[in-house]
Amino acid sequence: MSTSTVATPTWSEQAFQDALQIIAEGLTELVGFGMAVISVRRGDDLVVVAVAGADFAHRPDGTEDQRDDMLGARWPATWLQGLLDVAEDWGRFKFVPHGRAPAANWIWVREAAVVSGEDAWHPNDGAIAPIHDAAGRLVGVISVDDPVTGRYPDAAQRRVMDKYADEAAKVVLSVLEREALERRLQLAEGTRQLVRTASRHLALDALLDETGPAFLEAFAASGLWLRVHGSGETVLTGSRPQMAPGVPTEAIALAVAEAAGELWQRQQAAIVYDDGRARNAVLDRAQVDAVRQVLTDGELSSVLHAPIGAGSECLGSLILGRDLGQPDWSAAELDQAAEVGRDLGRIIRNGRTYSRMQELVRELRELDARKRHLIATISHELKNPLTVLLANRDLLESEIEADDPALGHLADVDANARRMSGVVDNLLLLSKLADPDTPHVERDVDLRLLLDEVEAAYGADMGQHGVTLRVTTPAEPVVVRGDAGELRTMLANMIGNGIKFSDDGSSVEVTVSTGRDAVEVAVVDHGIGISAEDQERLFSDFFRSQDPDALARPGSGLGLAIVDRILRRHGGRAEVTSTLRGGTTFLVHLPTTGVTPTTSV
Amino acid sequence: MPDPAELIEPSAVHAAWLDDLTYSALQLIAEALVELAGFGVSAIGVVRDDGLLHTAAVFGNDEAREQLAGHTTPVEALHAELALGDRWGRFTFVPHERLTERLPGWVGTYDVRDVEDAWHPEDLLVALFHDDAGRLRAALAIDVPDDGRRPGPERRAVLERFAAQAERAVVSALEKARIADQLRLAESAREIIRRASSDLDVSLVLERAGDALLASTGSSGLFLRAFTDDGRSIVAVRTDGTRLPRQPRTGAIAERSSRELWRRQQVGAIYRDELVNLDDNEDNRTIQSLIQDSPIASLLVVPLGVGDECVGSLTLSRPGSAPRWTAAEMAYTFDLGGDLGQLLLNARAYDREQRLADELRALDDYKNRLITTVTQELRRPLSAIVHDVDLIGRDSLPVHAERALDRMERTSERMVRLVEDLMLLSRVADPEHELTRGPVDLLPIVRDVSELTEVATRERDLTMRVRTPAFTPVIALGDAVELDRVAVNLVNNAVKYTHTGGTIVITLRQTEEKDMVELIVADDGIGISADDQQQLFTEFFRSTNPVALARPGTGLGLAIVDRIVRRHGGRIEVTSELGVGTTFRVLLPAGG
Repeated sequence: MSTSTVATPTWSEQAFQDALQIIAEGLTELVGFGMAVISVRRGDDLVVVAVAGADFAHRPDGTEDQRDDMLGARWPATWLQGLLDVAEDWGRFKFVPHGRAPAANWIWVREAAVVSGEDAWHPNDGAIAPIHDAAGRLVGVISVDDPVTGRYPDAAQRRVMDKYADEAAKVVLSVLEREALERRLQLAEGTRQLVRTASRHLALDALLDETGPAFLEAFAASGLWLRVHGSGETVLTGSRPQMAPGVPTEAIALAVAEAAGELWQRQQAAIVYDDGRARNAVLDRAQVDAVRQVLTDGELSSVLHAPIGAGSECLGSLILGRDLGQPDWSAAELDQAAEVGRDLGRIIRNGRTYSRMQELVRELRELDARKRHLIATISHELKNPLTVLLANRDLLESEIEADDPALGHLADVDANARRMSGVVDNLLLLSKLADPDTPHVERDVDLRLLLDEVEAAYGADMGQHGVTLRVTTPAEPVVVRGDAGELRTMLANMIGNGIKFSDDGSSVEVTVSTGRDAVEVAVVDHGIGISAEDQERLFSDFFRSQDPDALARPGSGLGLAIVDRILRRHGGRAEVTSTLRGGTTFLVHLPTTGVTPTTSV
Repeated sequence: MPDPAELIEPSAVHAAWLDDLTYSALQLIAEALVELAGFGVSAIGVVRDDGLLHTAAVFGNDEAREQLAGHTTPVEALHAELALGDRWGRFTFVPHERLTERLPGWVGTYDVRDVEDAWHPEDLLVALFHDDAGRLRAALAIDVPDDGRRPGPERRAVLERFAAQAERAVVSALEKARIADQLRLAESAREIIRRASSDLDVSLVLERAGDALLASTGSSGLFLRAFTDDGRSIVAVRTDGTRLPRQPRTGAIAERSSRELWRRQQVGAIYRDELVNLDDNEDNRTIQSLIQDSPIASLLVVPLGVGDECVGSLTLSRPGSAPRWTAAEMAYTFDLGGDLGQLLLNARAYDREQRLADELRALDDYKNRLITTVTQELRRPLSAIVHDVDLIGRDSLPVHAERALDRMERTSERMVRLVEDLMLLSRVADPEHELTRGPVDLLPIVRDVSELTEVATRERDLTMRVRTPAFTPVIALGDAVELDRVAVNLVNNAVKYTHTGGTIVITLRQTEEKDMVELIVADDGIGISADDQQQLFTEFFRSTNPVALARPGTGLGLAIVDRIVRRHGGRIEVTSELGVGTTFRVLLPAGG
């Protein structure tokens, strides 16, 4: 009889074997048999995991096995069925009398002490108790031979055998279930580790460096091949570098990529074994043969291929290889591998979404830089001819008579050219204020000093317009924290705006007061006022009034946009109250530092 | 019958700490022992996490079962009692006469045999079961021997065999329960992470994790919060209806506790009467007093973090009827906190990039509108200048004053062209300014353009050839005014950069596939270097070629052409060689 013997079964955990050994010994000593053997099912085979009472035994062909050889011996489960088919029912145990079944169906036979009589036990007699799980699947078998009495067990002995088998079956089941749970736990932990590490957006090779070994152990695999389409990245890990020369050949890589797409659609993982068996495989015969060649070259028994994907998109492949002599892949392992493919897919997709967003940000930054450059160029392109224009205007003015009517036109040209120049300045200023990375010099600033400067600057303008400017400030410093230049521009624009919309002979009043946390600057004019509708949109970017009166007043129309930007940069805000034709009050709030300035403006 | 477990607290529900399967496995073992070992009654007690021995299975006597099942006793008490007896391997036998005080238990009422080695109802026979690591996991007590005698040496050997086997079975069953528990936690953790990782949005991560967490942690409610860069927090809440009274400070307390717990790499539990891993400070006492009068009996505070950084907090609640948080659960939620922390960190990084992109887009939009507004603001004073300059009489002016006036005229005209080009560029570059598409025959446009440049071509002795179909129109799909500008700018460009006596060839036709129309403007002028070709369509691009620099222009002509062609869904190609000439080829979608 031929039986394959595997020296180190993967499940031969010491505790597991010890547990079953105790049961086997119980059978020999408590129930009274010369030999008891417990086998558990592994795939299509039964594997001997415990032997009690005997240090050696003979195969039906006469060869002798020592105890160490006996442990781990395999025999096909179909042989057991052959024995059960002819057995007598003793309850838990089934008795197989000699001669009914081929002796070759037994893994070992025992030379029993031959006694005479009808009830004498024959060396080729045997008793076996199959063990089934809750679902009725055969999971193992207990077999006994060589009763110490040398005779068939009597009714009382059979009752004890029955009870004992019952008890032993429970323990065997419990031990097997525990073992299965442990495998699942190991799978769950191994895959979790991989997924957890992958979430850190690691490159594939770093990912495998970190989690590859645990993952391989969880799947009882010796090689792992990870490939993500489009990245051109193929990473391999495992104890089998031989896998490397075989796998990445062009033809196989292509077949794998194609298969991954198909498998992803079906949401399945596939397996190819070295003996040509396949599960869920979408490869044609030639491709399967090519894969088998890779297995042979790599001394592997099988590969499992799980597609990596997210949504409707297949993103790559996860391939696991198993060593020769390893058992077939279980359904749970197949499911787990497919799950890992989905997990990795989600992570890769998220990573790509993130990268795309980073790329977008980079492009937008470039765009902004170009725009910044464009604005600088526009202002340069406009400032140049304005300078030329003004210079020639001055030249012309100096060349003509004092009573020449052209003088009036030249004065208008001057005013309009300066107005254009102011608009271009505002373009640059607003562009600068909008940029978040424009430096903002923060220091303590006394608003009174700024107002003095603005007042002085408007001095000449005042006379021209016939508008009186009245500034009221507290006796003590009014300190806010901010950029003095920007704040001065802000105040100048507020006041300029007031003057612009005032009628000749009217006045603009500026009052500064300090509250608990804020400084208030009120700018009151008695000019044309702002309609309720316009007030709402006054500070929105580039607001333009529809009031023909307002439009008729010269000015850039960007003044309040600048005020708004500067206030935003200083954590301040502005309010407006106005009635059409009844004047306007702007109230600006700026957060205060409440301390005396250490630096003067 | 000696009891391995004294009644300390009645725990009617074995399932609270031992699952049904394990319970029935122990019951079967107790039963088998009675039948095989020749004793009438057996009881198995299991050592719990908290060091109490809990009687889980009793077989053989209903009265014994009623009295013993579910009772607990401290392991030390049993050890103290067994210290008085004789060790028989796994079993220890304590004869009743040595027991001065005994733990309460079941004492059978049966006759004591009149033999020397007679078994007494108060005799104690207990086996201790250890696991592979040598930890005490369970105890077995047997009573009422079939033969009414204390076991002799032979029985003892048999009993030891059974005990060894029962030990395996019991430990196996308990281990199985423990592993199954771990597996359940590991699998639920994966499920939570799997669901939460399907999005890169902080709120969605929280919502998905919240649903999955409630289902798998046996809690009545949860509070999941992500701390953000600006000090706010994003929150997801799941509850069965019971929740703590609203308290403005709980958020801040949760954040402080979580940051501290993450620093210590622990999870904390708050019970009504106990704090685990949490300091007895005002924060935690506040929370403790909140749950005092609520249906919530305990809270588990789990920090979410990565590396040194705590990025969020998870608080789970349990009602009064639920068990305490086990060590396994605390370890599992801690791991989960790390995983969720990573997901939140990823989502936060994405969120940050997204916000940055939004800001940059808004900034670009703002600058576009700024350019448009400024250009518009320039029109009024500029046309006033042109008007005033125009009104200045030349007649009486001295020569160099007239030259100054000429220069004023030229510069203001240049500014007018510039402002016009800027206006047009703003309009065609603005995605919100929609293109009005219609069939446009390019044939009259091209003819008009060549006629308009006649003066310039004649002055510089240029040859202009126009190759178009004789009778069939060449129809593009787009805006006539904009397409006219494309032709004008390209032809003007060619005229500008072609030497005196040179040749310009304009070709207009349909492509072979008939889906596009093609406008080609070729000259044999100064040409464009390869470097310059790269930036040719950038606004205000200035050639490095001094010959090109000498020819005036706004610098916006080709940028305008490029924008118009692009917004028409067409493309423009340039082939050129320095000193040989330049060919622009514009492809536009065919119309009609």
